[in-house]
Amino acid sequence: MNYTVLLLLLLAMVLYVWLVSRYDERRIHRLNGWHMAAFGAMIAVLYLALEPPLEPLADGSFLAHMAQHMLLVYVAAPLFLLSAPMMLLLGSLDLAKARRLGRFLRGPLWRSLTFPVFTWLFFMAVMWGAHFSALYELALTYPAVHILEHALFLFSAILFWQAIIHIGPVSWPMNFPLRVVYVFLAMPQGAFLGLALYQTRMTLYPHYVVTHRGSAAAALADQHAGGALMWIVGGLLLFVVFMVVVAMWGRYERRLGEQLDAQLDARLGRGSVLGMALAVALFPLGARAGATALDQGQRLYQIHCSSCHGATLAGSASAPDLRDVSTDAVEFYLTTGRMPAIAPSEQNQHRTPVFAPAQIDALVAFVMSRSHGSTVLPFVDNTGNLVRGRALFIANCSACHGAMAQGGSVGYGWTAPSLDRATVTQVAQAIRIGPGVMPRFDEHTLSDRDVNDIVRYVNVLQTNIPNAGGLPLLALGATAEGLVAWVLGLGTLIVIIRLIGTNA
Amino acid sequence: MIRRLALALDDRLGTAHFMRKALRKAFPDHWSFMLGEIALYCFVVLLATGIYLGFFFDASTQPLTYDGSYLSLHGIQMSAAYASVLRLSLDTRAGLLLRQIHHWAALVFLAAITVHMCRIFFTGAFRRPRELNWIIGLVLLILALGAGFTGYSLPDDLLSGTGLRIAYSVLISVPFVGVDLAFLFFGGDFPAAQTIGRLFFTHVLIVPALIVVALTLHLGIIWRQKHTQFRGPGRTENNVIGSPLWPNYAMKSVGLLFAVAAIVTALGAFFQINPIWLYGPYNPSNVSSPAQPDWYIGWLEGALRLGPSWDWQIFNHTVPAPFFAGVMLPLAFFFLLFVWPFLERAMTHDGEPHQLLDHPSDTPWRTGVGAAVLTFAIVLTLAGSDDVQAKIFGISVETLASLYRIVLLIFPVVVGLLTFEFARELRDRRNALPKADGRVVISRTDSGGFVGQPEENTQRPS
Repeated sequence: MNYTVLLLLLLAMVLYVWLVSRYDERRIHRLNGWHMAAFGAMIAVLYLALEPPLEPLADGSFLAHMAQHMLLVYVAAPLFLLSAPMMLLLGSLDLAKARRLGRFLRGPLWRSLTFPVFTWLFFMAVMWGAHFSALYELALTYPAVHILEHALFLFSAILFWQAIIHIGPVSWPMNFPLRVVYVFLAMPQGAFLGLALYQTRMTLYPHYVVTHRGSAAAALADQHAGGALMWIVGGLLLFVVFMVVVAMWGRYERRLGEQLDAQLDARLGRGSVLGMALAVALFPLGARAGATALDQGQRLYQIHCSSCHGATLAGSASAPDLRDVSTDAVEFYLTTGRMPAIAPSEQNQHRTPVFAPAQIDALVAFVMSRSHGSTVLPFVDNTGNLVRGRALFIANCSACHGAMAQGGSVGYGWTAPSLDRATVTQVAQAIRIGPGVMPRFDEHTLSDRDVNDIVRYVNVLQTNIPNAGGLPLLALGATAEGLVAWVLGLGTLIVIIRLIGTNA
Repeated sequence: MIRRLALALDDRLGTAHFMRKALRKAFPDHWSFMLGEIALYCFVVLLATGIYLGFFFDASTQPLTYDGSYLSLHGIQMSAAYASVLRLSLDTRAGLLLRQIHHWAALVFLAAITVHMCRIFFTGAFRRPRELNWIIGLVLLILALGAGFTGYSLPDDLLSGTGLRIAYSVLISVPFVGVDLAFLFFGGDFPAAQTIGRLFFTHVLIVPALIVVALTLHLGIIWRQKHTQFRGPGRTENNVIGSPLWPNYAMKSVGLLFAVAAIVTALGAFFQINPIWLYGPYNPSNVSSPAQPDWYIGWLEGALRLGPSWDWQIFNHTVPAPFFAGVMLPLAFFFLLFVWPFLERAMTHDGEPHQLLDHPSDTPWRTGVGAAVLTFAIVLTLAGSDDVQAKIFGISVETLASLYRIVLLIFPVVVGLLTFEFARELRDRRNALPKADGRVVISRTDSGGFVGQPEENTQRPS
C-alpha cells in the first residue's frame, strides 16, 4: 500500500469538505449532492488506479498500466470537473482571494490554456507523445518521472474535459454542436493510438521485456493487449460521453420548446384563473403586500444581484450602475432571463427567467425605489401598421437581426439574437434600452408609433411568416440553398448516374 | 409511319447513310461521363422555365406603387422590376414554382459543371487533341457564372441589390478603365435606372445565345473527336467501347433528362429559395444580414472577406483593395485553368494524342496540384459565409476570418502534398504487382510449396 497516495487522497477529501462547509451559495450557484458525489467517486477511482491491486501490477504489465492511465484520463479527470472545483473555490475563498482567482480565470494565461483547439491538440499530443517517446521508459525507470507523467496526464485530461463540462466559470463556452464535434474528433484519435499500439511489431518499452522475464514475445503480447484496451474500452468511454452530450443537447432543445409553449400559454392567459381569484381575494391586503414586495425585492437583490451591482446599486467593474436605470431595462433583463448573468464575460442570452413573475415585480419595485431612472414604457398592443412596420424593421433592425428576424453575427463574438422568443413588450423594451451592443433608439429616432408598428411586423414574422415557397431552410439564405443544391440536387443526380452508368 | 417518314427523308436528302452511322456511334458507359449531361439538362430546364418567367418580368426601374396581394408591402414605392417579380411569385399561377425551379436548376447547373470540370482535369481528358474543348468548356463555365449572377440580380430586391453594389465596387476598382467598365455594364453611377434593363438583356439574350453557340461547338467537337475512355480489357487508343447511341445510350440520356427535371422540380416545390418578398425592394441605405451570394460566387465573396486591405498608389492613382481579391485573383485562377493543358505539355514533353484516360493516381503531381487548387477554392467558398458559421457555432467572426486566412495558406499545400503522396503510393503499389495480363498459373512443387508463373500466350476461354 502506498501511504503517500493514501494520505494525499485523505487530505484532498478534508480540503473538499472544508471548502464545502465555507461555501457561500449566494455568490454563484447552489452546490448540490451530485457535485459531492462526483468528488467521492473521483477519490474512489484514484484509489483504484493508484493503490493495490492495480498499482503493483502496472509496474510489471503494460496492460495494467494502460488500465491505470485510462482510469486517470477518462474517468478521474471528468469526475474531478463534475465536482465543480472552480465554483467551489470561488464560492468559499475569502472575497479578496476569490476576486484574484476570478481575475486569473479571465486573464490571458488561463484563457489560452483553456482554448478548446489548444486543449484538444495538447491532450492528443500528450497521449501520443508519452507512448512514442523516451518519456514512458523513463517513467518506468524513475519513480519521480512516473509521478510527473501521471500529473501531466491528469493535467492535460482536465484541460481537455473542461472544454465540454460547463460547471462554474467557463472561459470558452461552446454550444452543443461544437461540443459534439469536439468529442467526435477525439474518438478516432484514441482509436488510432490504440490501434497503433495494437499493431506494433516490436516492443516499445525495454522495461516490460525485463518484467516478462526477458521474453520479447510475452512483452509484445502484453503491449498488444494494452493497445486493444485503449482502442476498445477508450473508444467505448468516449462514445458514452458522446452520447451523453448528444442527449444533453436534445434535453436542452426540448426544454427550449417547453419554455416557448409555456410562454405562449401565458400569453393566451391559460391557467391564470387561480391567480386572478387569489388576486381578488387578497386585494384588501394590497397596501401591506406592497411593503412586503419591496422587502422581498431587497432580499432577492442582495442574494442574486448585489455581488456584481453592489449593495448600493452603484455597480462595479463588471456590472453597470443601476441608480438611474429605467423600469423597462430591469423588466427586460429579468423577463428575458438575461439577468442574473451566467458569467460577466459572456453575452447574455435569452433564457427562461430565473424568477417567477411575482419575484420580478418585487425586484423591479425594489430597484426602482432606489433608482431615479424613467418608467416610460412605449405603448405596444400588436395593432400597429404592418407596412410601416416592415419598412422600419428593414431599415433599422434587419442589418443585424436579419430580414426574417432570424438573428445574425455582428462581430467580436457578439450575436444579434433571433427574435423568435421575444414578446412584443420585450421587443419594444429592447428598442428603447439597447441591451448589449445594440444601439438605443429613443423617441427622437423611433416614435412610440414606430415602435408599435415594428413590434407588429416582428410578431407577424414570429407567428405567420409568409414562407410561400416551402421549407425556409432555417432562413440561412444562400448558404443553406447552396448546401441543398449540392447534397440533395447534384448528390441525388450523381447517385442516379452511378446507377445507370457502369464503373468501367 | 416513322418508317415512311424516314424513307421519304432519305429519298430527298440521302440521310440514311449518315443516320445509320450516327445511330450506331459508341459511347463509353462510365458513370462519370454523364456529369456534363446533368449540366446540359439543367440548361434545358433553365431555358424552358426562363421562357415562362420572361413573359411576366418587367425589366424596368420605373417607380410604381405596389397594390398586389402581399399586404406588408401595400402602397410601397418600388421598381416595376421588383413589383413584377412579386406579382410573378405571389399572384401568378405556378409562377413561384417555376421561379424556384429556375433558381434551383441554376445552382445545380453550376455544381454539375464544377464536378464535370474536375472529372476532366483529374483524368487528363484535356490533353491533346482535346485542348480546344477544354478551353470552350472554360468559356462555358464563365458564361454560366455570368448567367447566374445576372439572374440573381434581376429581381431588384434588397439582397440582390447588395450583391450588385459589391460587384459595382469591384468593377470600379480596376485601374484606369474601372469606371468606364462599370458604366458600360450598369449604365451609369450605381444605382442607375438602366442597370436592370442591361442585366436583363445580358441574362436572356447575350449569355444564353453564347452558351448555345459554345455548347454546340463543345458537343460537336466531342462527336468529331469521339469520347475518351478509361483503360480496360480491349480498350486501346484506337477504338471506343461502349453502348450504341440508339437505342441504349439515347434511352439512358433521355432518362437522365427526366431525372434532372424531376429533381429540380422537387427542390422548387419543397424548398423555398430567395424569398424576395421578405427582403423588400432595394434601397441603397438598407441591408439585411446574413447576405450571401449564390454558392458559385461564394469563392469571390470569400476572397473579398479574406483579402488583404492593400490600397496601392501607382502613378498618383489609387488601386483599392477589392482589385486584388475581386479581380486579380479570379483572373489568375482562370488564366491558370486556360493555360494548364499547354503548361502540362511543356513540363512533361508529352505531345502525343491521348484517347485513354488517366486514373488520377497515374499522375500524382497533376492530381496533387488539382487537389490544392480545389482546396483553395473550397476554403474561399466556406469563408464567404463565415458570418453564418460564426452564428451557428457561437464563435466571433473575426476569429473565424483569421482562422480561414491561416487555413487558406496552409491547407492547399498540405492537401496537395498528401494527395500527391497518396496517389504516388497507389501508383507504385499497382506497378509493383506482376504484369501477367491478369492470369498466373499456380502449381504445386514436389516439396509442397507453390510457384506461380505467368500464363504463356494461351487463348482465354471466353
